[in-house]
Amino acid sequence: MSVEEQRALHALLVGPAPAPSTTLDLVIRRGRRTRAARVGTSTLAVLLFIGLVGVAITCLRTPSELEVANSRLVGEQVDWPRVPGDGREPSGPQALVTRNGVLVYQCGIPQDLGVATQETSGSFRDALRSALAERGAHVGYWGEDPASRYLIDIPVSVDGDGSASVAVSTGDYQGTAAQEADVLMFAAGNCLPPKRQRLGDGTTAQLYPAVPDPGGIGIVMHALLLRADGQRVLVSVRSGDQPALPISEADLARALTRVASG
Amino acid sequence: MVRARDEEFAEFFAARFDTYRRIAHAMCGDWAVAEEITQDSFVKVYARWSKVRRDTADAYLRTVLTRSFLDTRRRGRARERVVAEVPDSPVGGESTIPDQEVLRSALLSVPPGQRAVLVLRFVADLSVEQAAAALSCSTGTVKSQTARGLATLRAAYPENVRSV
Repeated sequence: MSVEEQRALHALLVGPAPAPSTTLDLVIRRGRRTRAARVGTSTLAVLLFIGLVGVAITCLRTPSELEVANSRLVGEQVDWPRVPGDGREPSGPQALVTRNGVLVYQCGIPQDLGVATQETSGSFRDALRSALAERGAHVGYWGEDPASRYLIDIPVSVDGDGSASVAVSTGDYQGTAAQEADVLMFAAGNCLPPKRQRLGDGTTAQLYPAVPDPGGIGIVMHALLLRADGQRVLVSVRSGDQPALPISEADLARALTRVASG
Repeated sequence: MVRARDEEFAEFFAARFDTYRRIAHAMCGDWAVAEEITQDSFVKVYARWSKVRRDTADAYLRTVLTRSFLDTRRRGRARERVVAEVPDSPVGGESTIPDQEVLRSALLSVPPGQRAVLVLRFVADLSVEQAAAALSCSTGTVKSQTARGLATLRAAYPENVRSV
């Protein structure tokens, strides 16, 4: 290859280019989640294997027993109806996992429910923050960092300490809300079907049982909001290093209802 | 410890992101796809940062980026993922160097595998051995793919239009 040809090709590294939209914060945030998912998947695979071989044999629970076990994790429960399974089942076997000294049931490998491709509206964030604060949770600083617009992670605790949090991400979905909700019925790694309610503005809310947090050390309770206009919002309440969630299932349901009606 | 690791990665990211985005663009010819490939590659590098030695981080990044590009081509862009923001148009218009655009077009006519070799060898200025490591293939394969890629490139970029 001639020197001129080499120079011409090497010159492709310079010249006009659009400004990059990728920020360091975005890369680190995605990288942490990738790493956590990798560690979580490896750990989960081991736990599932152990569960299959021995532990699960002695710990299998019926749906009603799971309901009782779950109520201990999520505190006060909301009276929304649980979705009838209609023959649909979790994608994997039941496993019992210890998180912060608490035994938590999990079925299958959890999917990443967050899509984080749209900015969460300011009114939604403010309404959720107010609703959480009203329930007695100490809500930490809700940053306005542009890099955080797509995935908001707010420290929340009941005693001003600890690493509990509420994370919000927004994206979109195809098809109807009911179809999307059905597809994601067991996506959180939940053994029981989620609770589902149609809120005041036509939004379908799907509230999942608490499950082991695949990216963390505690447990996580997800709520999926499927708006009539095709927008999907995921709210994830994480216990962090605390043994209990910072707000109860009923508190979260009230907050979501208020956000939807506001 | 996490802070020190992140600071080290931040330095690595700041010094290289734009260059690797341009390398990805030379491979795929699309700024949005190049941004996605490069972002995904840095995410993967960050996820393994504690295991990637600083002196081998560039080699690992090149491997991840090249594989991402080739995987994207194999999947035919089936898996679309929205990036945070749509990249702007190039500053100063699509091209201020017409010959460069002719060369870019010619390069895009080269099959993806051979194109990746040409970009690694002559755009990124890597040695045969470094390109082989990035592609996880032998140096012989790099040499043969280079020869074939150059033949295709020269056919699409004949001497009479070269002004360099």
